[in-house]
Amino acid sequence: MIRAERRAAHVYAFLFLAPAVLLLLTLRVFPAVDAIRHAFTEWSGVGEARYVGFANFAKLVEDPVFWGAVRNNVLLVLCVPLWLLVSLVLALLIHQEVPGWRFFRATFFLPSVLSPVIVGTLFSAILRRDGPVNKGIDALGMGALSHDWLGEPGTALPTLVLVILWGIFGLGVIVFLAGLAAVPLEVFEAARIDGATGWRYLRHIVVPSLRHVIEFWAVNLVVWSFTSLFAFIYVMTGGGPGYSTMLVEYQLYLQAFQFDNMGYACALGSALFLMVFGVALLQIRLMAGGEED
Amino acid sequence: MRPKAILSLLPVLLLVGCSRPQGPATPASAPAQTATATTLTVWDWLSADPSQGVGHWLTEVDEQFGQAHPGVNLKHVAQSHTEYYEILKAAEAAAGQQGGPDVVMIHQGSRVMDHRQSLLPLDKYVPPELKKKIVGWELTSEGFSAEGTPYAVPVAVQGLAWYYNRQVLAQAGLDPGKPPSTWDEFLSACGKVKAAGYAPIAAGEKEGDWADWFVNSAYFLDLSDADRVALQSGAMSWTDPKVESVLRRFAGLGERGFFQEGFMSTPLFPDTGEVFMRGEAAFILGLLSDVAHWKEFSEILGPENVGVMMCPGADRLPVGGGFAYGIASWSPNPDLAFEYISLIVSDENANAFLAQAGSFPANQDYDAGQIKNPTAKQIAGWVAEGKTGQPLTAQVPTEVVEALKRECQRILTGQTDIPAALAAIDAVAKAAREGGAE
Repeated sequence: MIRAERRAAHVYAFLFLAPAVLLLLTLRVFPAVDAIRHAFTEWSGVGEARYVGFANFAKLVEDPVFWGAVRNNVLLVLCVPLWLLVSLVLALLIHQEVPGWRFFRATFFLPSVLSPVIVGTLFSAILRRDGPVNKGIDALGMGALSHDWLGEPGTALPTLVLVILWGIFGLGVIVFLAGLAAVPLEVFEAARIDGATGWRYLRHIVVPSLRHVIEFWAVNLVVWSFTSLFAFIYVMTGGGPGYSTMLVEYQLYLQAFQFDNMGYACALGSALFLMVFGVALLQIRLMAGGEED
Repeated sequence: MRPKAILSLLPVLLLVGCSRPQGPATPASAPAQTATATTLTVWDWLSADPSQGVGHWLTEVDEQFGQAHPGVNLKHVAQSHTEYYEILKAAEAAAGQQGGPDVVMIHQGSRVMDHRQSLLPLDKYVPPELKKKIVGWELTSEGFSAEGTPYAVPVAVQGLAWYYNRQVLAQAGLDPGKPPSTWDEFLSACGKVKAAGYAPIAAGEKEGDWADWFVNSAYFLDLSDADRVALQSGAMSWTDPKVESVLRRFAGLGERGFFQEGFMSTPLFPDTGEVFMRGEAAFILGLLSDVAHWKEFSEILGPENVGVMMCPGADRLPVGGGFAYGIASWSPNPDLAFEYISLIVSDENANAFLAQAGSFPANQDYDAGQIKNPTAKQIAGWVAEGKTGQPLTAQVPTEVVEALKRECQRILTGQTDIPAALAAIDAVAKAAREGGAE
């Protein structure tokens, strides 16, 4: 009887999982495997692909644009702690019910519901040489600090990092608020009674309590920084000026859809997959290692 | 148990239901068709706004076609200009199985060559009289030769010209009736305009396209036609001193501060034209047809205040890259498709094209007498006199043009120097040739 029920449970589990698995296989796994296959071909995306062995990967190793894009991707990964910390601190302030916390809880999430295209277009206008940011700087008598923020190679990438932060921090706040809600209030109260404040409170009470949430969000942000910034780049800089904001995913798009080098684009995609996989794995290992300690 | 089992199957059934093969999608608003009705699908990127310009003109052409072919359901689809070739490529990959186009708008030049495997050769369709009166066949035919097999029929004459604001020139103490005719005169004029508090040149380098336009406009000063062909074929290197000279002219404009502030993050369309139309700049490198051209500028600044010139020191305008129409190789109705194209390039519609869109038709049998705008008259005269040349990058692979644009951005922002930039472009050109030769 028990065995029959267990078998029925398995059948149900399979049936409920089947649609998601089917979609995943069709829309993710199959295209990914097919892309890896095409990475070894010369193919325009239409017609027959021609097998070229490792030629695309050899080209990739010698491609300065690719390495410039990898460098930019690594710089973005280095910004993940900033993206993480801003969301965490703001979530903590809301959790501690600072004055106006209800208003901030509602408004912080608003940028997250905007499409990156809208965010990018909005900030492209705001950050123009004759836009409100520079006008504000000029009005404060600090004209020397005004810049063509997205048009200068020295400021384009840092500006993008801040715009992306604006676009995503709200989601991080929600994630951390959910995490904080799951921590017993006694933990925070005990810390306060014991006099823990400021950085020590954050470092020794909040971070350990939210360890798994932070891990989850950090891995998400790292993967996201490699694979989901296309819209920001497309709208705001096109990877320029020159190659200053070029990312691997944007180079992939150019090769696939502008230059018709689908085979090379697949090689770039395969390399990107390996990078994301490697970095995420390393990150999870490091975090898991810290937990064992 | 049974209701539970049925419930648990629901998601699977829904999924199967959703993924069931469908017939060709029919818009709800589409007119009811008889079983024998023929549908002709036309794709373009210009008909999204039927209230004005090219969109209005195309709507009228469609009406004419509908009246002449009452049994045909003409389905005109306005695609996004930005993603047009990606969408077209998807249709090519599906070989038109999912309702792809019969008639395809396409840019003259390398776009036609890139997509010719999906376009029907038009030798047997194009009559000699049509071939004779239309210009631009060398940009839509095999081997970039007017004698080669045509894959698309040129509709518009597109190109680049330098427009100037007479009022700004006068404010700068220059003679508005005598624009600079040599490169040195141009530099001197820009200096005076800058001293008068105006931006000498309205430019938009966000996408890098302005650099491409400049090179196409100014190369006549340093390269001959034979050099152009040699550069395009690889016989001449991009590091050649003649090419370097073109980029030195380009870099010199930046070094002298002759562009408006913030030009590096200014989009070419429509922002650059707006800088010029606000009267903030003296010169702009604009188009001959469609947008950012004499008609737009004249409407805002007044026709008496807009002048046009070739690149100072050049004796020709770069002409090419206008749109053309081809027939998809999978079209079940190629004869009907060509009838549609023939109607578009007819004398009557060539005249309407100029009158309504302010665009120069490829059909040279249009009535030039209808042109009243002095700037347009000047351009039409140059085109009629054959004072035109092919753009330098018209036959260059897209990735090489992209490298040119990005290296020019790097030059302007001090990330590289001209020799290094040219070496980088040359490396991309070599790789493209090797890839294409394999």
